[in-house]
Amino acid sequence: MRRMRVAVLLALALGAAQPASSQAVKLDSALAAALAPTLDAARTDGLPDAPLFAKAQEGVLKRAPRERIVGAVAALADRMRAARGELAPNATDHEIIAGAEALAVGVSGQVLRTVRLYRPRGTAAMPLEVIAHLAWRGVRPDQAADAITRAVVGGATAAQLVALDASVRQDVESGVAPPAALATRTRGLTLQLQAPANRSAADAAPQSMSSSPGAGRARPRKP
Amino acid sequence: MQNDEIDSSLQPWVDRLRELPESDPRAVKRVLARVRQYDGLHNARRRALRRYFARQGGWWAAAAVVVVGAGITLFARGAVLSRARESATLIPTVDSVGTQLVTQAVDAAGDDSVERLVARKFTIESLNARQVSLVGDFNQWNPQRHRLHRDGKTATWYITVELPAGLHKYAFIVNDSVWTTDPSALRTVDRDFGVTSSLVLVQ
Repeated sequence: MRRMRVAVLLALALGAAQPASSQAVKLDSALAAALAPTLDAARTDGLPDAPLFAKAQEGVLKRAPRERIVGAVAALADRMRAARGELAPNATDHEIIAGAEALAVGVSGQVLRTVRLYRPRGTAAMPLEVIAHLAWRGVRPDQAADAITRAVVGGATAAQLVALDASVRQDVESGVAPPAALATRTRGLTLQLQAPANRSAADAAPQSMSSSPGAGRARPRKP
Repeated sequence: MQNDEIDSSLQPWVDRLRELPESDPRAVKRVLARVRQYDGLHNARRRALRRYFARQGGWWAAAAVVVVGAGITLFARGAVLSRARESATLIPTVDSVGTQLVTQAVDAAGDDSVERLVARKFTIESLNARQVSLVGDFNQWNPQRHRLHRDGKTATWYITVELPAGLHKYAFIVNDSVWTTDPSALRTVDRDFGVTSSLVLVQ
């Protein structure tokens, strides 16, 4: 009886000590079996598995065929793997997910590397998410990436990038074309970054804030 | 006072006073017997406890390790969560359309290195709905997680959810069957499954 009590105590304690499972909703056994190789490979590679489970569950909820769900999860795992490589050497899970989203909308790996150069570990996610959000809004991915990388090089904070995105949204809702709205608002942010109050941040890369196209990406990492 | 300083006439009295009082030998015997008895009992209890722990020791040690481990894990989780909450300053703001921004986390340094939770209110108008769920990547697209509440006097359904800062896809499910996007948010056609979702960027 006493041993029984100890066993129950052990079980409860172990349950409390285990991290919460990322698989909030059970997938049916056939789908789970089909996904197992992808998920195992992702875990082996150290990728976060929560987004992969979420993608599978999204497919189930949207009533997609099993093959399509498996393909979507595998594609996401590949993008996450690629994003982690571009954001090396020590990307956070959030950065990997944001990088995968940016790659999904058509942003190049070079953009991820540039953002990594200027944003230390844990701070690269928001710029990449703003790029993806702008691309979903109708801005060409390369234009969105160029604008945001320039801002990042100029020392823009996450709050400033989100404010830029919100400003573009307002302009688009009032009838301005997304590319024109982004171009206008980017000029405004550039001026803001070059203002005396932000001089110290802008001084980090003064030549990169020039108006020449592509200047923001003019500092490739040396091999 | 030393002996040589005492008046010689007082010395016998001093010696008498220094002698131990006489005691009843039977009383001494009784006291010593009780002391031995107590000592024996104490030793017996100690031996019994030692035997018990020798038998149960493995279990107790394992249980202690697990309980301490669980405590440390829970403490660490609490610390991480409280750090995340402390890192944000919540400023109430209200957006004019549809999905309302109830609170916005503002990080003075603009640094997103710590995952922040931001309260966000989602609303949808639906007169004929009996039930509305919010699904998204933040709740593993699980319709059971976030059920909206109906404002009794209107057709407005609402829920406030704490989201991690970042870009999120979501949708509403009306009456457990009808997939509905947020009319006030940016919409996106999901390339993977070909179904439209809404997008929200939280900071």
